[in-house]
Amino acid sequence: MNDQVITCPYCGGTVSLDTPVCPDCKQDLSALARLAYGHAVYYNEALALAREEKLDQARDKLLVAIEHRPNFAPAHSLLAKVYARKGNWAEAQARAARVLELSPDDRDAPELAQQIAESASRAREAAARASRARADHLLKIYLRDVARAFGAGVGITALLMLIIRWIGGGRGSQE
Amino acid sequence: MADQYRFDEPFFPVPQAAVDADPATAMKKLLHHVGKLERSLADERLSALADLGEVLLEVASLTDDITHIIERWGVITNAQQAGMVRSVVALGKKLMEILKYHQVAPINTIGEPLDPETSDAVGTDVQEDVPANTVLREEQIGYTWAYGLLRRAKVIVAGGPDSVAADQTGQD
Repeated sequence: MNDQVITCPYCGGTVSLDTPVCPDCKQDLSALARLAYGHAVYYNEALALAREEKLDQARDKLLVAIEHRPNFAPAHSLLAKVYARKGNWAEAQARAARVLELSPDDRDAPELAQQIAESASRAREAAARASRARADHLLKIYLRDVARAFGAGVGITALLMLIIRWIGGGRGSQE
Repeated sequence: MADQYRFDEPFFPVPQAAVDADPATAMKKLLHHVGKLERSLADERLSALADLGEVLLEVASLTDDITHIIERWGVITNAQQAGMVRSVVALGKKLMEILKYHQVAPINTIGEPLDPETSDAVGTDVQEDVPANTVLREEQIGYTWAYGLLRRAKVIVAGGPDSVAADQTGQD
């Protein structure tokens, strides 16, 4: 399967992890195999969870897998996708960059990094557009309020002038 | 977006035994096993020490015998006897080396007050000029080793003035 071998801690013999029973002393080394494949087990669990759209749980499993084996490129790659799906572009880009470092010969790695970079760029543009639209909306509201305030001011001033004139006219006629 | 980031990569191949295994249970079993082994190892060690002590005691007895043989040999009259004595002395030295290697050392008792921790008084002797309970000679050499006392010494001690007087009264 993976051709991984370990040294039997009981007798010193060589044991393939694919069939973790020592051929010499017949000791069951499954627990050691579990430790050796721990990262892969967590990765597979994370992949299953991601396919069920349980992205937070998948992310947690992947972080454990990476803790077990920090240079396990498939886990970084999957985590980049999970972060991308969650819209966490900074983390997604960081993970994609790590995949490029760990697997420079992987043909899918640059494509994933580019996809994420483009998506991040689009997301930034959309955010900027939304921000501009919000600013425009706020400006319109402000101008409308200013115009209203100005109109109200003009009306109040005219009314005051009429009152003053009226009071002034009254005094003139008494004299 | 969801279409763009599909989770369509294959599962990583992992042996089923590794998936099913529980390292915590295995560790618990191992700790019990190690504890049991350590206990049995301690027992074995004690037993081995006791056996070694017995063997060294036998060697010490042999050394004593050789010392006695040499002491009692008397005057050497010919070359054949001289050769034999040399061989016996060499054998005694080898045995002493073995004892020394295992840190077996004779207990120094002669001229010292009787030490009840290491020596048994098996007799008294009349000596006027020696304080009572002083060891005069050894009937059996005592030995110590790295783990304490290997064999108690059997000694003759001075009886002191009282015993001299008693001895004289008895003679009268």
